[in-house]
Amino acid sequence: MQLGLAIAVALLVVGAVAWPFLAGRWRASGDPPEREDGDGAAVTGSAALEDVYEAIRTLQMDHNLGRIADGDFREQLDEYRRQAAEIMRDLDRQG
Amino acid sequence: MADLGAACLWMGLALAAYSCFASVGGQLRGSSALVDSGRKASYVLVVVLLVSTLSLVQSFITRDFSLKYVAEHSNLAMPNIYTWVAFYAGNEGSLLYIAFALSVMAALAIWLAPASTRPTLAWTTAILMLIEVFFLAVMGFMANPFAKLPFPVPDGQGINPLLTHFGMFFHPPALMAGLVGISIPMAFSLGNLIGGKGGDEWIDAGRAWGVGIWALLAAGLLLGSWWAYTILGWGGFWFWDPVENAAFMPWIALTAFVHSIMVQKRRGMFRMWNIVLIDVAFALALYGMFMNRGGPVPSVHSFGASTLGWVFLLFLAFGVIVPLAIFFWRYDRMKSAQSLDSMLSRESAFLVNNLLLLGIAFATLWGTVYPLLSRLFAEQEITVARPFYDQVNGPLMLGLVLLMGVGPLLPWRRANLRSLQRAVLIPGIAALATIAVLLVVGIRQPYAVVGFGLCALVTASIVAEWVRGTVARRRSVGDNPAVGFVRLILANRPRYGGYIVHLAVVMVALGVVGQSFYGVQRDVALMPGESVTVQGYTLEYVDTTALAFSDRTEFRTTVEVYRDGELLETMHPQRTFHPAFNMASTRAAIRSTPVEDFYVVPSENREDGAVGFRILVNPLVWWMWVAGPVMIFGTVVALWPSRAPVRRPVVVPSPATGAAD
Repeated sequence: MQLGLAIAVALLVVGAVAWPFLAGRWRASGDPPEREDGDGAAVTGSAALEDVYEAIRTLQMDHNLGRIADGDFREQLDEYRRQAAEIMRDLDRQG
Repeated sequence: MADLGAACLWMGLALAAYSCFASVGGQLRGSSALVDSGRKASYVLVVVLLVSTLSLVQSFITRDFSLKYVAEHSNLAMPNIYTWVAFYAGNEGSLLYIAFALSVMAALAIWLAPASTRPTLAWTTAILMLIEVFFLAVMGFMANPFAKLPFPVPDGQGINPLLTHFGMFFHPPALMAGLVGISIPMAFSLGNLIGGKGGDEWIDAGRAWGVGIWALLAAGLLLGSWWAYTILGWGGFWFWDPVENAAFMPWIALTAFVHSIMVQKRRGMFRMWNIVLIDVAFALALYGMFMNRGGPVPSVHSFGASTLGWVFLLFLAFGVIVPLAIFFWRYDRMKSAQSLDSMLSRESAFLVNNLLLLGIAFATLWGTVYPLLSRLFAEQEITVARPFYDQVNGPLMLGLVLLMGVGPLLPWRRANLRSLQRAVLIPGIAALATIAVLLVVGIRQPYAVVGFGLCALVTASIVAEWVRGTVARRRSVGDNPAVGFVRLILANRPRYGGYIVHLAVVMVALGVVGQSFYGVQRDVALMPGESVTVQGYTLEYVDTTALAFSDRTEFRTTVEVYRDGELLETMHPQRTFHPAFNMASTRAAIRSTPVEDFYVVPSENREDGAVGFRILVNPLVWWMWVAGPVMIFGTVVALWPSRAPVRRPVVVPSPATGAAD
């Protein structure tokens, strides 16, 4: 029983470690490997956009509570909007 | 099953080493298949170490006394429920637990890594697997839990009696997983740096893991305090023991980190500072492990017979020097995107918070190492006890509580002095009113009065913040108060989850201040039928019954507690003698209410039939234990994702983009 389990674990280990090499070999030679660069950048951009939205929500809440002067609020809001626009432009460029 | 466990241990060591080399080699050579193979090795390591762990658990359940570790930490009389505790009761098993916990956390961290960290994820993987290699190698070559005795013994020594407590099911595993878990945010920060990035790519992962690990350590520390309170028999919950401090210091550094990382996330500031903080927390965690395993100071919390101290000391040196070297190597890439706009801002409050926390960590470190330094250089050991910590850390902690009240009222970038005055008005009135009431009822101890006043300030500022936010929502979107409140919390979970955690800290502060300044203790010896009155409670000693078991003799005492002539409760504190350990353990009986605890523990069973009792009345300690679940809830709220996480398979990395240059 122990030997059987040990062999099963060893096979799992070898299979998992070897899989990326075997998968690469089996992939059609004409197909370029899928890369995450563009995809990853899009996800990063979406996260950055969400961060800016969150910052705007916090800013609006602070302004509603009277913690930030109107001038400071407008200045910071404009800056966050600029940041959001830049991120959206980048996302559009990446398609 | 033990042979399978041992085989999996070695397989795990080989796998972790392979994962480390494959990740580094793949990244340097630009081989995505090699990097992917290294990553998959880190995933499958979880399975391998799980089999090893289950093998050891199985050996305990079957009481396989051919294994040295099982024979040293269990016996036939041990209830099966303590198998889990016995598993990590000694050095060898706890190392296996740590290695397994790290493998699970590392696999999750790598699998769920945000897209921004993917280009440097191979470096992160390599760092985590290098740490795995250390633990597995120590186990394999120096502390193997599957080592066999020359011949099986008929019965084992048994589990340490102090560990047979409910708190032990969670306290050690939470602390051990928490200490080693600091590796995760550290590995993300260091991997980012090695990969040539010095910016904010790692902070989402660093923050999420930092906050989660912080909560784990906080829960571990609170459970440890509860364990000490109920079983050690001295009536307190924190002794400033060097090994307690060793777990406390990384938590304090991590507290600074989880605040400071918010500034980087929001403003792109404190980039270097955050890397320094997480490296300091990691170094302190390694120091904690060194203290626990053969460190120079014996403690109720350490593995007394451990000879692994020097190995952990070397690893500590490695864990300090290597991150420091990488930090200086990449120094020029970590310039912050922004600078402080005003000293009256939330960023400044976070900075002061960090300085106070580091002050506490440094003072605690100094108090911990001072006896060692005095022994080395002055040839006499000068111990540092509670008065030192009270005098140095007390004011710093009060400063922190003050900041918890004022900091959240400050907006980012710059505050308007007039609006700040308006925001502080209600909390300030609440604090002053509390202080006035305390003075009127005769509470005059300055630290206690200030402490309670600050607790009121923080509570009022949080409640006022929630009320104002809910009212603002009602005005802007017309939500009814209940819906508005829930939506307010959901709209900014990190912020309001943090407030809930702050409330939990206030609860802990109430318990600490109450017990420290107004706890009353009396030691008495009573014959059956005699009674004593302490702080309005009358305790009458009824009798003691001795119950003999194969491995221990329990002395179960019955006492009745009266107040104003009315029976409140019949209590059963207990004292147990364990001949195999030549040790007596106690189990306090505690009548706990939000106002105060009535605590009684038998300290001595005399031959003339008298029993020595330690009786304490500890105000507000109940709040400390309630704080634990509140803290966990707040952490869950703070970490709950605002949208479904984007989970994309990590198909092929791009080593070239993240390769060290």
